[in-house]
Amino acid sequence: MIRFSIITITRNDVIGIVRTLQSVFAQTYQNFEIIVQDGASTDGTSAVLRDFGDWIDDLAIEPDEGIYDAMNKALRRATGDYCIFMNSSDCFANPEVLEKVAQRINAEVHDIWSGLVLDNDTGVVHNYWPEDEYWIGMTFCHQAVFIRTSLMQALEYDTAYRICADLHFFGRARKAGASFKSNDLVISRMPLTDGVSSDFVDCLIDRFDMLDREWGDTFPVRERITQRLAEYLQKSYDLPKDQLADLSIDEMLALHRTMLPLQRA
Amino acid sequence: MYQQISKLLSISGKTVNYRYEPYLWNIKSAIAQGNPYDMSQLHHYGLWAHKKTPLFLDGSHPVHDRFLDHLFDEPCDDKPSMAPDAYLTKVIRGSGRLRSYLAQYPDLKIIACIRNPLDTINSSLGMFSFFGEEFHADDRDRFRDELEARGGDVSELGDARLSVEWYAAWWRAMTDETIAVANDFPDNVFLFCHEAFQKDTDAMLGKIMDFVGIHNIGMMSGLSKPAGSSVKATSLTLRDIHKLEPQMQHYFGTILEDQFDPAERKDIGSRVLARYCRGARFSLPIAGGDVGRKTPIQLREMIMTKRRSPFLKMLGQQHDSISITELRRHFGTGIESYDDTPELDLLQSRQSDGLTIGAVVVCRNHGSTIVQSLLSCLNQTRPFDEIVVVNDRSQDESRILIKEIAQRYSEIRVVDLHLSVGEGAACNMGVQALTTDYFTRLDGDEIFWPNKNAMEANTLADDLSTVAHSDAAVVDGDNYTMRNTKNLDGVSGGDAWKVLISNPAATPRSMTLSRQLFFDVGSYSLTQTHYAHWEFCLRLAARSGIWRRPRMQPGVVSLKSDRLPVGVNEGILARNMSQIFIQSLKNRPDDYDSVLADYDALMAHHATRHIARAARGAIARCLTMNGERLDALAAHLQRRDLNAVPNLAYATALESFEAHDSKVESNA
Repeated sequence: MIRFSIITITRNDVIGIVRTLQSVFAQTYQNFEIIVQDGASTDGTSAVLRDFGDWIDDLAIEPDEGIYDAMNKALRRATGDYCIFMNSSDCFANPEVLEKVAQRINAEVHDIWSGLVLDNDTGVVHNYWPEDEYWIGMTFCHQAVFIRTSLMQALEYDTAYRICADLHFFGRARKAGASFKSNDLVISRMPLTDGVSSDFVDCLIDRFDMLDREWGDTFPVRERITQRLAEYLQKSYDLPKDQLADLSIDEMLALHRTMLPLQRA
Repeated sequence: MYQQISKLLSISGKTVNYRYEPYLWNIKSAIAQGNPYDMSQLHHYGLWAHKKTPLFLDGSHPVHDRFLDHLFDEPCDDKPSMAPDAYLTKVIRGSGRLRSYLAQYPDLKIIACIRNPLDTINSSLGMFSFFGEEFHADDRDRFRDELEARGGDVSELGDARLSVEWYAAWWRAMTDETIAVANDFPDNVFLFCHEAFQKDTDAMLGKIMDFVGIHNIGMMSGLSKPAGSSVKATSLTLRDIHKLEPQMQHYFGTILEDQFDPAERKDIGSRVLARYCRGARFSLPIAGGDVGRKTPIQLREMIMTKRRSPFLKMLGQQHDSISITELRRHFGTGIESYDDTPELDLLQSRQSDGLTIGAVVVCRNHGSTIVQSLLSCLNQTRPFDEIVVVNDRSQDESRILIKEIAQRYSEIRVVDLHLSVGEGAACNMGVQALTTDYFTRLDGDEIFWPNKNAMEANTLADDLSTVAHSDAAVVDGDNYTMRNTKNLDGVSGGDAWKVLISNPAATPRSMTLSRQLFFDVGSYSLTQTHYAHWEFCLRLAARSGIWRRPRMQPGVVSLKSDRLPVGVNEGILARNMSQIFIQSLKNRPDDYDSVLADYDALMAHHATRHIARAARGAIARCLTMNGERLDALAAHLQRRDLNAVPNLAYATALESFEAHDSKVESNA
């Protein structure tokens, strides 16, 4: 019987942590451990966590060096077969999620098993990059992916990446020969406009150097990023296509920095 | 008054330039009636001049000087080649600038109107009073800045920018300035006191004619005493009236000193209060409405063109307080005699018992009732010190309605949850947000009885372990039911537990208790899906002192028939009830003789269910061992891995516990 490690990272998010844990404790499939890492909250979150008592299998309240550092700290204590990161404000879509995943996942074959995420506000399935464009962006969301714990612990997140450490991890997993399996099961709901990586351009640029380094020799990373950035700027600022046609990434970024304050005003 | 003076001028054969409310309207007419008062009549020059000129002005100002010339030094409107004989203007927004008027036009005659703060401010909150534009939302910041510069008290002028505190400050500053100018320029300023006019209409009208120097008997019949005195609707809650008490004291205690003797002032003041506190129809304030985006003029236009917005929908709903007469009719002698007149004595300061009491209002998709709920908090005879509204991620118009109300009442704070956490957790967050000693809770589909807070507060006697509670009236269409809590009146916490353990329906819906006690007990469970309030009250009873019911009357009126969830599997309800029962047994104050009887009474409706029988069996088994295993049974059922399992698995867990006991006994 598959055992899951549910890892929840939180800091100063009373509402979010309550909602997340409510969705965890409501799971009909009970063969899991819940590991919570609280970055020394100052708003009462820690007290709420302590009130849950032994319903939380492993609770650590301590400062950290950022979200990926916190995720690594919690990950090292995981003992389940598969782990999933369900941070505060994320929640399972329904009480039967783990039960259905346990039925569908093949522990002998699947190293990384992914499902779908719903936008918490709209209820719409969130779109990611196509599976064959894994070298340009996330093809799934970490709130909907179950990772073989031993693999995850071997690689961990590289905390040098503030936003795209998860994308970097999955790239390394691919290079290490991990098997990926996608499924159309809805796993979680999350507020898709919150969090560290909400700004499109920031995300794109944060990952660019990393992707270029990891995949630039094999795939047209630079060209694709440039194209994607141009599409975004054209749509956001209603610019003619030919104005952006010959611009480099740096030139487009400069344009974005100029136009964003005007747009907000 | 403007129209009457214009008639006097007209009868005396004078050509007159008329300017009606020139800081706002471009109306050059002797008659106020008949104008559309819509966007087409706005005086853009006047609006601009108003914005460019300080609200308080004693002398010359380049923009305002030219504006005054527009009022008092332009050629005749009808015959530009001539100068008129007279200029007549009715001014709003000008009370702070009268000195500048007189500095530029020393011969000016000013009739300055003053009136008590309740009438004035109530008028300014209303829909069809243009006085609502007197203190425009745009003027808030500079009014505060100028008032502070003049040494005025701005401590009450906070973020609730449509609150009555702001209007009170405006009324006070402008009234005081008007009186000061009248004292400094007695030959130029006639102080028209509304209350004096009510007292002796003819005398006042005679004085006005003396002042303007034109006499005509028609003046006596054209402006009658009732003008402006009737209160058709009030936009002031009892909370507002309490807030305006210092202003009422100032007006009737000081300002009217020369006009009336003390007994007269007290009598007039009391009658003014009574008009607002007894039976006036309540109408939500429209001033600054629609989240501050629209003026009363724009809103009126929207109403006339039948455009809709959540704010206008809110205005159209009935928001009157509950009909006490109606409830008495249904319950007959079930309610003790209730005096709905708040005990306000104008000339005595309000007694303070030192207790601070807050209200937590939990709202989830209560858009059709939340305004009534909040108004019931604001219409308490004893105001709440704080009100926290927790919006548990409502998907209807609740959020915008709550925001609209919160702008108007400074003690309301809103906790907007970006995720729904359930009413128990939401209430916990609300209580956490309060800073008061005591609190009470209201759901967004309930209404407080008007004196609930006063009655329960009196019962607390500053004892932090006391739980004050009241009955609940349930109104469901034509069905009226009173859920009385007399069995909990005057009992100890332990005895309260005995009442509650077998009867969740006995749990009071209207309670006031200390926040400290609430947290000591452990607040509401974050994972309890059903009967969370009953479960909390059982823990509360185990740790509280005396439970007191102040009198035989409801504290809340619930607008739905039952608190039980709709459409939930009855097996789940049976499971929740039995689990809570077992968990609570550790708080049992005495022996175990009646445990099974209590359980049977509790579970009567579910007695034949597998889960109910399994739980009973487990309890009975524990009781044969003198109840020593009851704690272990409760711990067994509280395991996380049993939380969400199907009922069959849960019942199996109960039976396996029982089997384990049997095995231990047989081995022994």
